[in-house]
Amino acid sequence: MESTHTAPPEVRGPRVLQFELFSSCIDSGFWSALTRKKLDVYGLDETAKSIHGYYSIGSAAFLPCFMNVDHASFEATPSTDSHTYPLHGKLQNFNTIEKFRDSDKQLITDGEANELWNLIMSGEALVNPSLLSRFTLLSFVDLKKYIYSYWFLFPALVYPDALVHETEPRPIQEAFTGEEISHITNFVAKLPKEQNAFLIAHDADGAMEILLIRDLPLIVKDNRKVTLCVCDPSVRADNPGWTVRNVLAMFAYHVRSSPEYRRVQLVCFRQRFRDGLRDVSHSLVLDLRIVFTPNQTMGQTLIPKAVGWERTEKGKLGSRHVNLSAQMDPKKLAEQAVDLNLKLMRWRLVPELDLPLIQRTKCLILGSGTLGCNVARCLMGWGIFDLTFVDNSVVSFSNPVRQSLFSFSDCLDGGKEKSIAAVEAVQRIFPGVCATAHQMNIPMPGHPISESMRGKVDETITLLEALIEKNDVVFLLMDTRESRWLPTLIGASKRKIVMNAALGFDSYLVMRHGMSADGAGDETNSKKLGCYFCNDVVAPGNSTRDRTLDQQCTVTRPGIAMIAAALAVELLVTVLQHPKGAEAPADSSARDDYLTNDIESPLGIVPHQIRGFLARHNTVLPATTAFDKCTACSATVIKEYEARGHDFLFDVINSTASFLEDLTGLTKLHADSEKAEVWDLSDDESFAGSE
Amino acid sequence: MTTLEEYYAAVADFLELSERVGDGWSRFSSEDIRSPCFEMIRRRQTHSRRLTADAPPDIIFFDYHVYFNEAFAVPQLLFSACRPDGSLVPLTTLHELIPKHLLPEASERELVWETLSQIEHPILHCPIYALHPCQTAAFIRKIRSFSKSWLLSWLSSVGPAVGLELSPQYGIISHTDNITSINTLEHPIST
Ligand SMILES: [Zn+2]
Repeated sequence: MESTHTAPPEVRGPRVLQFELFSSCIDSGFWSALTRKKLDVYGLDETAKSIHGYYSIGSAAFLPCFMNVDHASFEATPSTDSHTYPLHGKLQNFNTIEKFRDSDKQLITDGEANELWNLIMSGEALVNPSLLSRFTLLSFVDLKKYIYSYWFLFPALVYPDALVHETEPRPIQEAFTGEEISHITNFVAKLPKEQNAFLIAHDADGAMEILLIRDLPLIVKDNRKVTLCVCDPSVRADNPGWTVRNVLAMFAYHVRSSPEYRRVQLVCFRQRFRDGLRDVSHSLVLDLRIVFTPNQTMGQTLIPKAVGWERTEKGKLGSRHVNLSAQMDPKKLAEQAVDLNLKLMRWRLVPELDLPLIQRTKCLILGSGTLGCNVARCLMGWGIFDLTFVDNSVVSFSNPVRQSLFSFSDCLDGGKEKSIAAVEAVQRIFPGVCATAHQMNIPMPGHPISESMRGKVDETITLLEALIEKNDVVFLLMDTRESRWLPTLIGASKRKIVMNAALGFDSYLVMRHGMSADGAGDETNSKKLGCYFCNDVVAPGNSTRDRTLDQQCTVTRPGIAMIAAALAVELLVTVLQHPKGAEAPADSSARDDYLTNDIESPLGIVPHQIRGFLARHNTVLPATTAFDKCTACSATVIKEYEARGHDFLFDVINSTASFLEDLTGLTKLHADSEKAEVWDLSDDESFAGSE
Repeated sequence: MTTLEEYYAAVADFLELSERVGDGWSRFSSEDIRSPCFEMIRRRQTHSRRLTADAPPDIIFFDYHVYFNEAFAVPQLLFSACRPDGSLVPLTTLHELIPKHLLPEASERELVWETLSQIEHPILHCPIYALHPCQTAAFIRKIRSFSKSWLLSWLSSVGPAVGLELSPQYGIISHTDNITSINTLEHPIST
């Protein structure tokens, strides 16, 4: 009997009737509707608003006595179906948690008692008994944290003094014949919903007449034997539900001066559908004795007390709190929707896909131009949201049409710094990103710096080292090739995944830098794969003198950057899903079986390089091993960097290209080399095999 | 393809059946309704489980909505579930809760789940899961050639995968109806 309030538990002697208190049941649509009302209509208005709820007399056997509010609670008229009855509610939404907490509950309870008593005394409730089915909802909505605090009062009058069981409760079939029951059932089906209680008058000859409750005074006047019937939300075998209580109070009030009505038969009418048939067999019949205090029978003037505050889930008298951020906070909704979208891919297509691994990958995007923007967008598509943008320029008027994170307004007033504009854009696109911006010039070999600038450049290098250290992947997407040298070296030294993309007018290169693998195999996987500079036989130099195609990214076919950026991200994700990760051996189109051999990454093969030629819609997948005299990733250079640190880097930056060439032994080869670059490949040349 | 009028007619037929089965499908609308496509039907299904023998039951209300998807011109099934305090139950919990016996093949159930997306409920404005309607048109075209209660047939084919229970009474009632409609072919009943 956890939800009754007034009657003392198990007293000796007569058993007092107890009522099952309502349990609040809030549909998620109610909270959405309340939120919109608060924002659009109520504002700071704290006055009580009229709302409505409903209860069912057809609940399943295991359920508590629920009262429901939903999105329709705020509409002008209650909507009910065949099993449900209206509840008249008041909503008082407070502006602060303090006002909610400190509101005078006793005052509210007394006010409700007063209103209920007036409805009974005036006879208004006899005409419309559902007016006695009431609730008050106190609420506070924290729209920052989406925590909803609420407390329901289901006011019920403590009147009469007591109702005492004269017999044990019994099922309706034991008190009425089948014919009488179907008569009652049909009557209820036709009753308007505000008539949640009615009367059966019994005549001396055994005939019965079903009447509206408004006929009670007349029946009493005629001294007819009467049964009170109430539509009952409870499903318990020994208790009626809460709404029955006020109806009994009204009944008692109207018979208080007629001692012959101190004994009353109560029908708790319940119905549910079972196998397509209306079933009322769990309705109860109770024989009750009404006990008044002397005052109550002598034209009492005192207003009865009311009770009915809902308890918390733990049974304490107090308010409830529910955190709805998962369904209300648009940021969380976006996160869930994006997450579901990715999960669908796993459920549907790639069950082995390790999404958490992908989603926790941190990416450093060096270069926030055409490639950087598109790479970032594609990474977000995969749920990779830890992004660090680096660039050294500002958004200019020609950029937004190609650089998909920027818009016209970013170009105004001299242009926004690209890394910052990129971060702002990804935050607009998806607030769940964790994006940071660094505007910096990446030091380059053969671009000497003055002594006065050395301290500042030193800081830049330290920052770049730190950024590479804290990320898992480095994307090289700058528009000069020599600016890729330093991050290639640092990435190789720190064993990070380095992804590279470079563009020609209608061709592109996408590659992953090699990471030394162990184990034996053929030439494509026995050794470390090459880096961007491995194929060079010249050290990176000042490309303002020596033309490079990377420099020309602004005159590429616009689709090229999108294709290359997308391939770079897809290649990364495929690598991440490969059991050997960055050390995955390269699949190459040089091998005949590259289209048919077993695929180790669930997403497909993991080439070393993807080179595409848009004019012929041709794609090849070359694989090259690392060059032992590489100016960026050879052991000699890495060792030198790791031993001498920034001093070594400054030597490279300040020297001519030959410094690195001498160091690696490239100078010896230099004599017979052409100024070949990764791009200098004629169309009829076969890319099969390593170059 | 289903026209809006055909959808309305099917909804009316279905609600009539549901009224007789008594499983609580009802028309669901709102005063601030903006489009006739939002003419929805809804059913609430209560699920209760006890995590331990003496714990109070964990009660969850499954909510099923059908509305007319204009873009695909087919009915679409939406569902969500909330606790008595109005908080929505996360999808992973729902996936666990839905009785496995409802569909013989686990893979069939997964197929439906694979197409879920999270949308904003057109009337309630809270998140709700939607079954993708891309297969619905083909299914309905097939079913309509031999079933008058195509909406019911469609619901009973996709619903169980997301926990929707449809009473066997539907089968009995609609079977009787088919016999009746054959007998009264010359006197079509208008609703
Ligand atoms: Zn290299």
